[in-house]
Amino acid sequence: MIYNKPVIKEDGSTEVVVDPTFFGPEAVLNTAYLFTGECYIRLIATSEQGIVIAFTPKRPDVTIEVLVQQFLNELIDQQLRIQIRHDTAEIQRIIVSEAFAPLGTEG
Amino acid sequence: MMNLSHRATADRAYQFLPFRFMRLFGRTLLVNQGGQFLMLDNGDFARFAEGTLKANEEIFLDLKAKHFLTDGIMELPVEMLATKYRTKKAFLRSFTSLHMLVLTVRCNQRCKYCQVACERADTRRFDMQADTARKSVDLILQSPSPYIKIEFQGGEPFLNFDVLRLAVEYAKELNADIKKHLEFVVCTNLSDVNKDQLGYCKEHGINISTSLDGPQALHDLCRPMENGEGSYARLMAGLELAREIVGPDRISALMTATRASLGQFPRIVDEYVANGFTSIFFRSLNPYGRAISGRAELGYPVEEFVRSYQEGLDYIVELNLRGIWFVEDYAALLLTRILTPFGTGFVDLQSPSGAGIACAIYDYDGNVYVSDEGRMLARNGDKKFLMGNVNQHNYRSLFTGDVIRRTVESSCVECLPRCSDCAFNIWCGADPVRNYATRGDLVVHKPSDDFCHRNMAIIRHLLEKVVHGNDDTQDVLWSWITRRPRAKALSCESEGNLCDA
Repeated sequence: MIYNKPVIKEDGSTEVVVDPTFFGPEAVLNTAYLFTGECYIRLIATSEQGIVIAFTPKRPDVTIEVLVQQFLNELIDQQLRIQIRHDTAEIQRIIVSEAFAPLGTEG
Repeated sequence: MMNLSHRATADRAYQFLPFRFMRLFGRTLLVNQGGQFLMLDNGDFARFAEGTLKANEEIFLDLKAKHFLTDGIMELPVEMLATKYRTKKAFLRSFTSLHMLVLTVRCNQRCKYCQVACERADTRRFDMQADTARKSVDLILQSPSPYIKIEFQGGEPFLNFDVLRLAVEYAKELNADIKKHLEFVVCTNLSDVNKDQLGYCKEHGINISTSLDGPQALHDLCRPMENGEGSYARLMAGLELAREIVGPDRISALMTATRASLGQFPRIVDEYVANGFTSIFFRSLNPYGRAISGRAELGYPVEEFVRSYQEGLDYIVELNLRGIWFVEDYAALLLTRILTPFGTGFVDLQSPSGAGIACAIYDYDGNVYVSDEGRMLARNGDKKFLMGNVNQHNYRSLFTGDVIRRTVESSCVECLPRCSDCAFNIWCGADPVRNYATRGDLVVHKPSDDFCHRNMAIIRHLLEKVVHGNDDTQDVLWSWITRRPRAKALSCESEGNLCDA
């Protein structure tokens, strides 16, 4: 079963599982990267559960419960960013190409 | 040519245009490809993202007017965004315009944070020779940029005054045919300057950039003379002479913040105002040279610098509101990027980095580095950013070589981890030389990067003033961008007294 409530493991890490129906690996990876300043993060892809994310705080002052909540919110934003980027990729390519087109005509 | 049609989907009646977003101040900040921004309530942003905004809503019209969405012909907004993007990146057009000549690494001061590890004032083998200066100027004037600034650096460049004169006169002679816009700056501590040297600066239109860390105790703490005495009194004497001979408009100063400066920024500003300066650049300690070995005494966590910066900036805004026109230069640079269509070249904060493509430095021995910081690393034995030598290489091999390519490739925020999705990225930049100096790699781990933390915090603080500041505060910020005192401030000054905020 997919669960997204944090689960504290025996090794002291905290795990959360995200549903691959909503979140792709790129969004998970991007989000995980943002949190690597405060945590050691392991990503485990499982066919049954989804993507397991294991957090181990780097410092004792990191409140893991808050951090996981922030992670899950940020994950939504990251997924949205990917969708917007995907949706606007061709337009962006044309904008950049048009922007620098005059340079190609200069000596 | 573009082949785009409006792509409404089954889910929504409009097409997104490229933008980035960030949660900020309890709302959502959106920044588009041209650098324009909009703050939306989170609920409105969610409706925008879901595609459920109606065409007659004010938010819809704002988003359309600022090119975050289109519901009609695609060509027009795409052309507008392309023009704006080109304008933001206009600093790339000219190629290298700032050329720094290290006339000597001898110095008469022993600054605790010296990035170069200067040599004794009497060891002349660290002086640039006349032939090397001529070859450097030959190369400089081959730059395609129509604007050329030659900045004389050291050590203390006036200790090699003969070669300074030679370089100025040779550059002017060559430029008589080339006709570029040519400027000169000498970076001097002013502690041993004489009337002849300043008269020469006046005659040849050479600007003076000096260092003033704050009130006497603070300045003397880190900037002693070679014999250990404080340099403040000498600087004041030099400043007075320079103002009298060269003119106050041609003199600017820089400060470097050490641990002792933190919490003192308002007093440092007062010192600048008292000395007739109208701007300051709150500059944090750079991770080079003696600043590294002296880190235990001089260094500080980035959060403490940001707190001091914010305190100093708020104080400067208050000063302006009281009728004293004064600018914080870093804020002015960022505000120009945030509030106007224009980009501003700034070597340490642009994408790609200006190292090599906006500035280059010619060391006393003819070695050419992508930036002053590259030269500083070389002084400590690491020549990672050495492009070549004026005595061995021509312009093309220096400025199209692997070093400059690698530096550019690794400093485009559009494709760096974290930066690529950051809503601030069109206003921000990368500093691969600093990355290499601090982490040993041109690209660093952003979540733990002080450079990123500092710039994010400063941009947030400025945006807070832009978004929530009252009309008077907005006037102050715009006066920094336009470099003209506010009308209100002018009228206060002409009445000879300060206005209340």
